[in-house]
Amino acid sequence: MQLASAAASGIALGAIYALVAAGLNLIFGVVKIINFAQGAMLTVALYGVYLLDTHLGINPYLTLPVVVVAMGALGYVVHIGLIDRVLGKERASQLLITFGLAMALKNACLAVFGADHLSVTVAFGSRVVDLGGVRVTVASLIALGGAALTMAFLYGFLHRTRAGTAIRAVAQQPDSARLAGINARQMYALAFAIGTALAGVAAVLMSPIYAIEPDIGDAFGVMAFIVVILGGLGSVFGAAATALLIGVAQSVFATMINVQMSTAFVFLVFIVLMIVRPNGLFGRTTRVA
Amino acid sequence: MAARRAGTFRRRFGVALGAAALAAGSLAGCGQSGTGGGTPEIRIGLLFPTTGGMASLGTDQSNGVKLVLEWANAHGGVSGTKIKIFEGDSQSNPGVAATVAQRMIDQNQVQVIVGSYASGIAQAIAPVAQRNRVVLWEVGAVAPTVAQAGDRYFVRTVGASTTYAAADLDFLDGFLAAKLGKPIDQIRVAIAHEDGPFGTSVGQALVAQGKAKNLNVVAQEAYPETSADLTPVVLRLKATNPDVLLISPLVASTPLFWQAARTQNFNVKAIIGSAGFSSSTFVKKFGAKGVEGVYDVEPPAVAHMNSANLTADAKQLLDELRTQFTSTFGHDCLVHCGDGLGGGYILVKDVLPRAVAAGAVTGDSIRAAAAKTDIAAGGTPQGFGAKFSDSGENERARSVIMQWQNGALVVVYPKELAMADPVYPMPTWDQR
Repeated sequence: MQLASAAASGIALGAIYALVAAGLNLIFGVVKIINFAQGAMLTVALYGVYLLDTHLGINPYLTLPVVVVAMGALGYVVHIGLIDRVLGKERASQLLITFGLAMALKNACLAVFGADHLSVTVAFGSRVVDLGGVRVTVASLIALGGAALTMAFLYGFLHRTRAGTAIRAVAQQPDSARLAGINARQMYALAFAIGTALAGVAAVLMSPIYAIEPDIGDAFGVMAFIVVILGGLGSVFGAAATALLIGVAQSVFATMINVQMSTAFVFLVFIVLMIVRPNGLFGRTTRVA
Repeated sequence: MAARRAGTFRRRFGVALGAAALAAGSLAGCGQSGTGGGTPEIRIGLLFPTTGGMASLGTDQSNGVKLVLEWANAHGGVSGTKIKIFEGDSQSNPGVAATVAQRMIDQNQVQVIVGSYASGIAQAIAPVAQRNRVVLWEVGAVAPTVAQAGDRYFVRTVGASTTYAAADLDFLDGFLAAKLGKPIDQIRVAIAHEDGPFGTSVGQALVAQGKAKNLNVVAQEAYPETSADLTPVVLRLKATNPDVLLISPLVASTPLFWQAARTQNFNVKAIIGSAGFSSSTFVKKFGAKGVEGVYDVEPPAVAHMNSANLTADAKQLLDELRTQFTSTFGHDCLVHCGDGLGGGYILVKDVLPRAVAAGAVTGDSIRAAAAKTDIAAGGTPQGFGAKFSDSGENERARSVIMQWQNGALVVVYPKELAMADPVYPMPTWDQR
């Protein structure tokens, strides 16, 4: 039962990793930019949930449409105002501009909200569901279901809509897509906006579980990079499966062997896999979906 | 007419310039040689993490010290000498802490740095202070390894982590053993702690002191404070079926641990936490019912400490400033604010007057003055006394046991500082 509980907790953790990684993955897969600001975007979105919950009394889960649209708009503005200007430039400029953006967003949150650990509470979220002896919170189950729906939505959008098809075309063959009349710059902006909006989805679903503070995006941002790289850059389902695998491996290792070494274990596996399978666990690189 | 006005302006400008030059000379002298010979102020740097991950409690501690220093100025200063306060932010980062400490010494010519909230931060400041012969007046960090052996510019007013372990074992022996119906060596004790300097030092002190009492430690779990999920820690602890859990987390991991304990239905007869378990975030997140009965070991949460047994001076300051803290900052003066009040009080009421009387306020005169401190129990706002060893440790510092009762963190042990009796057993998760 201890092993099953550890695995269940790992799946719940993996769902959170998958949600955070999804936006990062889309942005990398399409815009080809390593977005160090994704963790900070998550932080901003979490504070957005907090504001709507505490000042307007909106249930954190019901803030989803507002937070997603606001984050999408923020992502669009950031892309047009910053990212678009460095797309053709050297990789170091791109990295530094997203790193600078992350610092600016984090410190803006600190200045506005202070460093206190804030929280939102959903009464039913902390209720416990007993699944044959394996106990999980309702909030974790909602995060897991939300992650599955988000991946399905993302896949459907990319494969069943004209905009999604255009985004995939730009991701795979930007020059050919331009020749076919697709406005590549607009597709980049759209992908960045959706990627940032996905940070909003992650924020809403994880807000009842974690304390909100200016540094919260850091740890999840780093883990999202691991997930994206191991899952195969640009592969939506590859990243989601990898996120679940990492969550379960980390949790089971921590429970059965050693808690302190569990993060080191994940990074060690990451290094080994990067040597053995440089294209990621599922062998796909820089394709969208 | 215009020429006369111009001449008047030149004369006034000349006088003002001369006065400014004299004032500048006076201040420069103060900076270089400290207070003495009638120089006008004592320069104190407050260096705490007021931004970053440690900011919520670090800010409380800084505000606690600042209230005392301002209180001293409002009451005539230290033997007539005013205190000038310089505030610095270590940004929860040891590297930044060392840089800011050096800047405070070079640019502000502070004669004492009061800090630091966290052991990792204090470890970075201590060598800077020592190198510059400036006292680090430590009111918050508890790891025994903060200062190098032989560092005579380090003075700590609060008890080291050994006092946490001593209070835990005293409470186990003096209260919980009887309630559990077992002698202390038969109580199944689990120890868990974050793996930074704070948690590790408390864990090590518990194991070391527990050996003398044949403590039956059934689990010892260290975990990173930044863990995204503490279910594994809870599952490992639960498997050992402890009667009592002694846990030392920081603020961030406490809600995650408590939620995981609730999810996994991990019940113990008593849990004694510290740090994160005494923060206002803890009760905000889980509500009064959710934290009811949880114990905490630390220096006292002075807002809910009985001040009747303190000396008149300590009681007056505590009663006034804990009320002022609540009205100014909107929450109670709990453990870390109390550390600031207590440490600041010993500095301005006991040590600095002797340093001023010695003729010059310098790192050496402050340290020499601290060596003569001899305050009996009840003589500081935290209820314990003060006497500093050669290594700068307050040999009379104590930690106490508090308990969350009806949403307030109340001192329950020892009796002389208690506001209420300890309640036993802790409610199970089904009863919350």
